[in-house]
Amino acid sequence: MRTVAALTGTLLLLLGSLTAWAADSPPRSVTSQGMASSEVDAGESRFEINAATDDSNATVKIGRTRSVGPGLPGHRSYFDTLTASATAPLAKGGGSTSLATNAGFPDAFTVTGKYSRLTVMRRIVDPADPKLKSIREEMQANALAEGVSADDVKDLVCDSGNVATYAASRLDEFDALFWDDSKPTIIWGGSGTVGRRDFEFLQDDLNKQSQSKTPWGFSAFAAVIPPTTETLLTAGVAYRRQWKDADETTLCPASGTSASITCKSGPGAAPIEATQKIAFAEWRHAFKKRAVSLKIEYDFENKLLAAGLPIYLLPSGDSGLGGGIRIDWVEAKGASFGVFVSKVFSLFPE
Amino acid sequence: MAKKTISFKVEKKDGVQAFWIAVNQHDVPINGEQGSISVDEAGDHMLVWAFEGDSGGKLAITGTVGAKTVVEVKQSVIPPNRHRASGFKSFDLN
Repeated sequence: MRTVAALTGTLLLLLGSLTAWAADSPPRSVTSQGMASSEVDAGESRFEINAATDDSNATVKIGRTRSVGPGLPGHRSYFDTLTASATAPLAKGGGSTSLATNAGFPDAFTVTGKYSRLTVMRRIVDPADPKLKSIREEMQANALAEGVSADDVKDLVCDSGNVATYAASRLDEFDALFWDDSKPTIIWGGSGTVGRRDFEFLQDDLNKQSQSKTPWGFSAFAAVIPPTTETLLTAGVAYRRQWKDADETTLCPASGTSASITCKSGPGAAPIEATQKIAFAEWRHAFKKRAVSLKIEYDFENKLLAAGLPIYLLPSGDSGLGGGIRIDWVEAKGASFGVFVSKVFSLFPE
Repeated sequence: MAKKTISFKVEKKDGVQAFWIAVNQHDVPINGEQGSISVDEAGDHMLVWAFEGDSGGKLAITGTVGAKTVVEVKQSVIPPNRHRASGFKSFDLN
């Protein structure tokens, strides 16, 4: 709890930048047909605060989103997400990583800012389009035929979910009224992280010395969901400057007259710098009842190639797939196999 | 013609990544969860929504004029094996 409270306090310092990002303005007024400019509207400023823990970290995150509709001449729509998070380690040396080269900033207190923009091409729906009425009537008729009461059918909202349930053969036709399915979904973004990690190591006189380091890094990515697929293709880069403990050693005092001596074990030198310069590519695909993700990374600094292949096999709650098996491979170390149970599959970048 | 301002609240969960709503072919800019738009007081209006996310992702929309709810979508869900969903609903301000 104290850890979460400290993280929350840190994040409150970041609220000013998020507030400035949400400019206030009067409500838009619709006076004529045609597309309006995409100014940011007024509204009560709200921030979402989430706290979560896993085996090795406690994280508090605040986020802000902005939905911007199409402007002339195209029907391109944007959705922006800005988040700030603070992470503190709960257990030093803990935490599983999916790839050896993608360990993040283990055992460090870090603050991260992330931004992403998702872009799609939508269609402007004509209320008079006869297809809307036709599909809605078919959906309602089929729902009645399947035993849904007349009152419930009347309240049945005409959306993709209910069309998929009661008029599945027309789902593609329905979606085509709202989306330009010939265009992909494009997502891009980046993040920056700065942190603090404390180290202790042994000196020759067996005394322990403390030293603090400031790990930092940044990343950028671009992703695309090709038209009419449930596949995400991502490419990106990441730079991390961090430190790790020197090799463990055991030091004993010089021989004296005592019958016994006490030795000490620990890192035998000051922390070692461990910089990473990573390029990665990832393919994610959702099958009907399975999902798979293949990620390949190359660390140019350490000349290390690695790959990870989680295969999602088990359902998680009433939506999504969580749990399965994974294969990881690191150059010069070979492959390792494992199972995971708590990570839910998402088609979208994390 | 007299106008009224509709205030919208949009809530997303279970993997919804992005959403957009529009009234009468005009997008409503949403900041965080809220946005608003002015419309003619008389006549029928149409709310349209579109959202992207993982299958099973849910969106809920509430439109109010003052304290009165004029349009509500309690839950719209992304169907299985899809990453986007959309819908429409007609309403008036009376």
